[in-house]
Amino acid sequence: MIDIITGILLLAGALIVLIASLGIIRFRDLYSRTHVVTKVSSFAMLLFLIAVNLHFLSARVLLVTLIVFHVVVVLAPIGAHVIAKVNKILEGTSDQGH
Amino acid sequence: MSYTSFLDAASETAMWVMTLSLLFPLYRLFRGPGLPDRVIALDQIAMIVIGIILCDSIFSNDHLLLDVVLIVAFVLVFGAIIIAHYLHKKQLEK
Repeated sequence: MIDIITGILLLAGALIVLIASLGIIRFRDLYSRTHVVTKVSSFAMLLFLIAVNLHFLSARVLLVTLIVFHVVVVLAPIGAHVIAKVNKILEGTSDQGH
Repeated sequence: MSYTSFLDAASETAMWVMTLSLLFPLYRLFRGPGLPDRVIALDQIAMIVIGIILCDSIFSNDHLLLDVVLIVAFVLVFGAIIIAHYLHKKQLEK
């Protein structure tokens, strides 16, 4: 029973990652693409981490998984935010024509 | 192909789907208009690699692969922040 739930979570996460990769191509500007990378992929990573925890069911796996979860969900959006802010600065100075 | 369980088939299918979806960020990485677009594409590639390694840890039943996931996640975050810092510094010097 746990195996079937784990497999369904893995397949759902793979489909969501595929949708996020399509969004990387289809969206028009950088800010929409940061939205795809930070939100959609983070949700897929959440599904994968739940699947790994259901499969192994040990305390060490839970610890490592919690660290990975916090890095992916808290720190990766901060990185994308910094990239978007730097892009705004670059666009702002290039509009003034020097 | 003969799988012993549903979990093996599901994890290998998930790995195939993610390997094929690796092509779209690679296209954005080569054709992206600017450097920030390429950094975002690299972020997405690192996310997909994290997913592939998580599926592989279930497929090969090896929980030590999760440490690899931890390192890749840290490289993802600090790589993006350091490249943004470098871009900002180059902009300030101009």
